Amino acid sequence: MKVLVIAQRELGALLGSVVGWLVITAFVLISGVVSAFGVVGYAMNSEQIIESAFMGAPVMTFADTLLWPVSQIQATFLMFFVPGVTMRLFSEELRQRTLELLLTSPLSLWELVAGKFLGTMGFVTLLLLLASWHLPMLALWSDVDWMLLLANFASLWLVTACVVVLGMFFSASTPHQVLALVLTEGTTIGLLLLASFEQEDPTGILGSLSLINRMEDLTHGLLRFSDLAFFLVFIVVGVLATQQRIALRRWS
Amino acid sequence: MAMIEAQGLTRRYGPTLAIDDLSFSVEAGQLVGFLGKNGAGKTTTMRILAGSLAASDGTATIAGLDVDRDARKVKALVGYLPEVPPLYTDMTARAYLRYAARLKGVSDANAAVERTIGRVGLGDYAGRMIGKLSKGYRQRVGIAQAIVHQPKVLILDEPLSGLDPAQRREIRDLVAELARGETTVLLSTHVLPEIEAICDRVIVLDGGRLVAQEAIADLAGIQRRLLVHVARPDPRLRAALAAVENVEDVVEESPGKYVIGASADVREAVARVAVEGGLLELRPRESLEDAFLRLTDRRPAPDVPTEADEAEEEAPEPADEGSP
Repeated sequence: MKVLVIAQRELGALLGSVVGWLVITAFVLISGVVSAFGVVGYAMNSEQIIESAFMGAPVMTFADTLLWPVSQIQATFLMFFVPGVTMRLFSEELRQRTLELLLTSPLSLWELVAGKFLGTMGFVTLLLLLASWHLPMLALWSDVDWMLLLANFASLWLVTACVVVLGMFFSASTPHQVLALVLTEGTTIGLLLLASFEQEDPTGILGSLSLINRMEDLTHGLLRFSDLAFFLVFIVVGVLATQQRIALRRWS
Repeated sequence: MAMIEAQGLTRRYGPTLAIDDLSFSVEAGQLVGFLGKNGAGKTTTMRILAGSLAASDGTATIAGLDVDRDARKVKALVGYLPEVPPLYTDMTARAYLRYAARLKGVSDANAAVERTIGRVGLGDYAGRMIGKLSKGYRQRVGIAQAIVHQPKVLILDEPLSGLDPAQRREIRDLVAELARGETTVLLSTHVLPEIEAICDRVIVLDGGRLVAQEAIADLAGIQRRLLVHVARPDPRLRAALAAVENVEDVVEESPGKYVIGASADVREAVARVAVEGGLLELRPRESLEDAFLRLTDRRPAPDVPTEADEAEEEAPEPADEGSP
């Protein structure tokens, strides 16, 4: 499977790069701090939460008070960090002229783009695993809803996959990594800000395009078909657009 | 059977015509020099044949397979070394070749890599990072990736550029050795003596158009204008040379040096006569370089970006030339 050959090379290149390890270090540190503060805050407020529930206030769950805030912060940082990883995917190949090796090898553009995507998602999975061990540690002191934690992990994984396909597309559009980085950051910030216009948009379209909004229900353990379809369509369209971008290079 | 065939191949970059209605063919097992000035369309044509560029018009086939319609099969048959070798400087040469072999669908990649390392003479340098290798060794790695899957057709774009004379000879001998097998080789270079030394035929482009496609010996009659240098010039010798069958004219360029124009290859007959006058030298009046300049001196090359031009803007840091 040539997809796996490319994915393996990509993962190796990311794990061999300074940027890759900087992203891992920074994100794991930030996730650790955020999770620690989240758990301490949850512990301090739990008594108040229980009292509020007895007084008829809406019940604040573990997901509401800990998982969702922590995931929101993690997703926001991922949107800033992951473009640093994806910027080199094709830009580097264009700059070093190594794309010529890939384009003249007997493999389809689909295999090429899918291989790059899978390799990067391998890195992202490792990154999320390294940054997500804090909350499962709670199992040492209390019962933990493992499915809820898994859903939370999946929501972060899907949001990051969307950032990866965006980064991959912009990286295939220019040999300049910094430009690819800026374009990806700009677009992800735009998608992040869409949620803030939600109140002023009566159609609800802007809110439904927000990556953060789309992960909210899944973070709470609720798997909606519309959210899953949104992420899948986003990823598939991103992969196909990147494939077309590379195909256009044969004509330009 | 023609192993490489182009029919009416045309490629435009916006309003600029890089190659225009190009038709040529290369028979199986031949080593053919692909010549032309910068911007003549050599790289564009080679990239189309290798599958990394689409033609605006016309068709190209490799072993009878269309390079567009049967792209996957064609790419499995072709080995391509671009003008700027596609090397990952963060990999060792061996790891890179293993990657290239697996991309090209080689079943036993490790064995193929070790065989190729031996063939191109990478030896101990195979374990070094490509970024630390000298230009000569990088070029070897580039050639190695092109032949690791034992292609039937090898397309080499300027494999000799930037090499010192010793490295140039090594790479030239390597290419000649590859062509001694069953591989068909299309070789582009500006180093014409190397072409003369190893190629069977040449294809010459000028301004994107084909201007010659023939055996080096026949190229625009190189062998039909001879220079004869004798120790004892004599009017009778000149008359005897003029009387040789198929000789059309004899001009005494300087004392003892005659330029002979002929309608066929007359070298053997002329040598027999010239020996009487103390033959010192008998050679084509025109070298391949002279013929090339004459053929391509008709119009300025179009302003088409070559791969090297593009690479100049985006190229990575050059290797330390002092390293092996």
